[in-house]
Amino acid sequence: MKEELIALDFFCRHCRVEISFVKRLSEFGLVELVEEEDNFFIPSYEIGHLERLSRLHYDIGINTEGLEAIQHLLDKIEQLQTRLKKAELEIMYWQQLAK
Amino acid sequence: MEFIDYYKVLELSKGASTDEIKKAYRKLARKYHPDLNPDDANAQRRFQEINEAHEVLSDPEKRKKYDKYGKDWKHADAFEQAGASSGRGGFSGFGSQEPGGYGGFSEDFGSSGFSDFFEHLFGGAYGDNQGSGVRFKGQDVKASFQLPIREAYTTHKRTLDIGGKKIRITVHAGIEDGQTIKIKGYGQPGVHGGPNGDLYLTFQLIPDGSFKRVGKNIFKDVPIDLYTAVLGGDITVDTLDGKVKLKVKPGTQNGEKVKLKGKGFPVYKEKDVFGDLFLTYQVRIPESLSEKEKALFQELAKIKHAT
Repeated sequence: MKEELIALDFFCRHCRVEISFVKRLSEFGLVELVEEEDNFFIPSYEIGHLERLSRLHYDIGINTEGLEAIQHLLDKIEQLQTRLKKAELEIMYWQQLAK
Repeated sequence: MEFIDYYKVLELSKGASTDEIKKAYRKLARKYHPDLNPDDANAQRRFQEINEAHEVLSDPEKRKKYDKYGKDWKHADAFEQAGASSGRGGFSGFGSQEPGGYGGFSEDFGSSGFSDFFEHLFGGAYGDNQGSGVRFKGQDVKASFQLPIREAYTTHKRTLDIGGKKIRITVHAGIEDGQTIKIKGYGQPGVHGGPNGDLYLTFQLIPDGSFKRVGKNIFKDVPIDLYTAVLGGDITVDTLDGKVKLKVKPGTQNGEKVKLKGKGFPVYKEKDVFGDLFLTYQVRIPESLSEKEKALFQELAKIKHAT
């Protein structure tokens, strides 16, 4: 499926984010940018994620290195929460069987 | 509304300097920022309080009034401003404009991938000022709901209590474990007249020890006694659709499976489409035999060995 692309400068102007900040995120592998004929675009599925990183940077002053560490930890939390939910349901299943 | 001690919120003493306020705000905002605390309602509430406290204490005018009037400072503000042309009353508690110039995102912390950017572009909420600020859609709320799997078999209405608000929803038959539905407008209230956020409700199905669901199919163990397994006979099996009479054929083996077509789980939002029910026979061997039974089994064994 072809992803929709949003022009980087349009997004940055609209959300008042510096272009250099988004490019730095891209260099760190935190967001994906698409380059076409010297213009940069953001795939639409990256927008929510980019907004979150921008909030953390502009709201509470976390630098790019910090964002990378946070992203890693948030991914880990999500994985663990999913595993925990599954384990809780599995326990309930076996408890019901044991009754 | 309950009085909030802004100094306490920022863990400061009353004589705190502007620098100390800024430092304390940054420290606590880092700790409770909703993006760093996904699905943590308590952290979100604390973050709102911290923002509110910062907005007041970092503004010398507001701080002066707050220090002077305490819990009535907002009324004092209104009183002092009576007759003045400014119409702005109170504040949303969110969306500090720190640092200068940036103000794009702070109102909405939905971590579900739904975007402010798109809301602003397509949702009509952006740029529609009402004199006192940009309208923002309220925060989306995530909640989970545990439902016994048997109740997911039929479509039914249910009243949920989400944060003290009663919501009546239709639970459609065949809903899957982990499935999320969106209930529009039941999130946090909008800011400056913006629309309410949405509620994202995730269903967690509580398994039933008597059967296992895999998608639309159901798997169930059925105990049968030795005599029925050997000689055949009729049994009654409980299904989600009611009791079903089954003929067990003579010579049925332990672990043998039968399929009851259309007796499985309904398929979500598809009318009259059902999965299948797979039954596995568990032959029960008698454990304590009477003298007479024992003699008869021995007799049977003798006949078997003689042939």
